[in-house]
Amino acid sequence: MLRWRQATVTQRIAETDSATTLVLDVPGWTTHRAGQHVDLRLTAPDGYQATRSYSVASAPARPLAITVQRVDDGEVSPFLADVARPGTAVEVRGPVGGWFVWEPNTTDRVVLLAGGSGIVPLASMLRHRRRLGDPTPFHLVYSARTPDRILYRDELAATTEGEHVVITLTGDDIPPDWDGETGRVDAQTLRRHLPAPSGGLTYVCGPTAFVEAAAASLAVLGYGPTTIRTERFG
Amino acid sequence: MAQDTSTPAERSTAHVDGNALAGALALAFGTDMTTATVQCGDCDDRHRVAATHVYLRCPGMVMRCPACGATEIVLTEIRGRIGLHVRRVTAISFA
Ligand SMILES: Cc1cc2nc3c(=O)[nH]c(=O)nc-3n(C[C@H](O)[C@H](O)[C@H](O)COP(=O)(O)OP(=O)(O)OC[C@H]3O[C@@H](n4cnc5c(N)ncnc54)[C@H](O)[C@@H]3O)c2cc1C
Ligand SMILES: [Zn+2]
Repeated sequence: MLRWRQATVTQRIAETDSATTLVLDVPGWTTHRAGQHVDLRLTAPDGYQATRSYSVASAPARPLAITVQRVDDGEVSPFLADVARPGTAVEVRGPVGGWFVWEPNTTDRVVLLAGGSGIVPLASMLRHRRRLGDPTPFHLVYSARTPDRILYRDELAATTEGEHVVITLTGDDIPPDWDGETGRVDAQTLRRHLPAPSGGLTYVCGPTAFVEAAAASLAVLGYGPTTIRTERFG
Repeated sequence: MAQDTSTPAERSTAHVDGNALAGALALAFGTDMTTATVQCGDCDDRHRVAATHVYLRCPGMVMRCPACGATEIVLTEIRGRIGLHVRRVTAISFA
């Protein structure tokens, strides 16, 4: 039965200057499917409540972890990214969502397109694949503003057989030593890095504008709408 | 355009999608609804709940038809109590 549960932060990992992973202990938590999220609720001393969704970053059957990108003028994310510490209590409901999920052995191939913090649920899928040693080919294109905004950088770079990972920087100040892609995800970038559109499922996640641009570019490449699953973070 | 120069007011009009309603709808229906199919009462378009456009920062959470923009469902959640207001929907099918 889905209900709000008390959760306690057990670990805090600074991913970047502006993003933090929180490991949560939730009594009664079972496990999640890769791609799902939780709803997280904060209650102020005066009773005011704020609820937001956060994707599960960890692989299924691993301790529940979320990664929160700070939105500077935000109500909830600055608290989670900067203030929450081991011992901090929050309320969590989930895991929820049955559409934006990947299960091993269900598809010939997986394409993942991430913008900003949209990498979080896709990282759960990749971690799941690696933990299981699943052979499904994975193609990830991840767009980040600047190098210091790239989440899980070393882990993503440690590709295993069948994984293709491309990071593209969209910011103005590309460091001279950057040898990855640059520029926004468009049809040309995708054509360079993705296989021809046959079989498989594509997951697109990130800010709304990113998701819409990426989905439109996939259409240009001939990826069928029924093979694309999208999740917008706002 | 490298920098997001939108104002907070502009951003607050950006929609998310039906995945964001997974938790509230699962409480209301007792099962995951993001894979459910909805038929719009205005334009007859059939689409997944996950594909709808959702506006979170209105009074309530507003789920709109991705084809024509009609308001399909308005959800409120106040102190653990879910309010489900069905507007322009002719059918919902789910497993
Ligand atoms: C299904 C789902 C999964 C999500 N998973 C994650 C996740 O894994 N990690 C994560 O960091 N976030 C995730 N988000 C976004 C998260 O729910 C919040 O929207 C985000 O943390 C901002 O909340 P806030 O209270 O800090 O900002 P608010 O107080 O809600 O908003 C402050 C200002 O920022 C704008 N804004 C709101 N959301 C965003 C955003 N995502 N990016 C930029 N500007 C925004 C608002 O329009 C407003 O102007 C997810 C969202 C959804 C719907
Ligand atoms: Zn419609």
